[in-house]
Amino acid sequence: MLDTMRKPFLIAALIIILLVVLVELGSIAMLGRAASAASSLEAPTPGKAIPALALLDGLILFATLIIAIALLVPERVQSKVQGIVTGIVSILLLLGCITTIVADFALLILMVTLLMAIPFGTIAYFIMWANFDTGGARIALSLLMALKIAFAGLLVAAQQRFLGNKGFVLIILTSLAANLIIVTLHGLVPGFLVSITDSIAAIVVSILAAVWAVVYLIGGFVSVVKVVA
Amino acid sequence: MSATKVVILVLVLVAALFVVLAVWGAGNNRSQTTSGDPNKDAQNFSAPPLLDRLNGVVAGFAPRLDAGHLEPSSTVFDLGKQNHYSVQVLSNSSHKYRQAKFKIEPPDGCAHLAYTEAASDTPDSLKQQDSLKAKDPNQFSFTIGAQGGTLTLDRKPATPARPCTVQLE
Repeated sequence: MLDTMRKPFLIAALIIILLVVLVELGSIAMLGRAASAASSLEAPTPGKAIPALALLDGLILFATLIIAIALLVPERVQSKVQGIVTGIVSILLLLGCITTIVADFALLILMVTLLMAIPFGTIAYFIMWANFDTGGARIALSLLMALKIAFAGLLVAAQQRFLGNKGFVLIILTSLAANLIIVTLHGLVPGFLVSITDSIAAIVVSILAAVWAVVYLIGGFVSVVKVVA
Repeated sequence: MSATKVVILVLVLVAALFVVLAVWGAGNNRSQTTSGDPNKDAQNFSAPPLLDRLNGVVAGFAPRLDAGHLEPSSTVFDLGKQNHYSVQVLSNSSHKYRQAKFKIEPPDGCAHLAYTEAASDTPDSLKQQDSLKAKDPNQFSFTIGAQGGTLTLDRKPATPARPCTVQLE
């Protein structure tokens, strides 16, 4: 497959998926600034769903990187190292997913119970979380969707046989679906409730990322066993 | 149809669906706006049924004020025996906010509760919390910050001399 690979397209795809992860991580700063009331009261800030995408897209970046490295490193060396590196990366990502799920669930509980504790809890909720930057989140999600579509197109342009790699195709589809899930949950409710649906979206995305991290972990383990055998 | 055409079709469909969802969501977000005054917004707030159900699921996990963080440590205050209690709510750094749910028995408004936050940077509407501001003055919740504060419980002077207890649930 590597012989017929159109390298410029693959490198462009790699740069784009790296940009995707950077935008997702950068959204913490953008959406966190909008929630200044929450941060000034030392309460957890909303805007968790888009950064949670970085867990899922981090795996795609890793998979693309492995493909790109194969262009530089001899296959014999790569097959020995790949399993171990995949195992380590997926364990770290799995830990990140678990931490994110626990933190987001705690924030969700806090927001819902405060909102429903009329009147003082509700006042606290409105002070801290009612001003979610829905416009900013929509811009970030639109940018991410455009980048991910470009990434998928560039991958196919680099080598059509990528479509035969079902695991890789499925994780890219999961990432696109995750974008759709977030934009749906953000749009489901009036603006002042978006902090709550954003937390729910973050939990859903983190669970999807955790499932894929487990799949990669198993793949890495099988790879190591094959090399040892 | 070739695989490339299928990919292009799927990507176009995903992009179109995203645009539709984003436009629909923007409309929903604007369907109810806030006034910018948290007190007013809290008064006008009515919980959607779905949120009510979600609260039913997660409420059991919410951080609550327990007797261990009260000085004197008690969950029942008998205002039939003593007309006034001043209780210190101790700080708890592990929870930014705790809920303190009180129930007055008999439910005839015989007791008046007030809570003052110790933290100076607390917004005014949360610094002084009073049972008279609650919708139901016989069953209500105070929102307690991490630094704690002072809770006062008083028997209302006009109520007849009969049992009156306040329970922290």
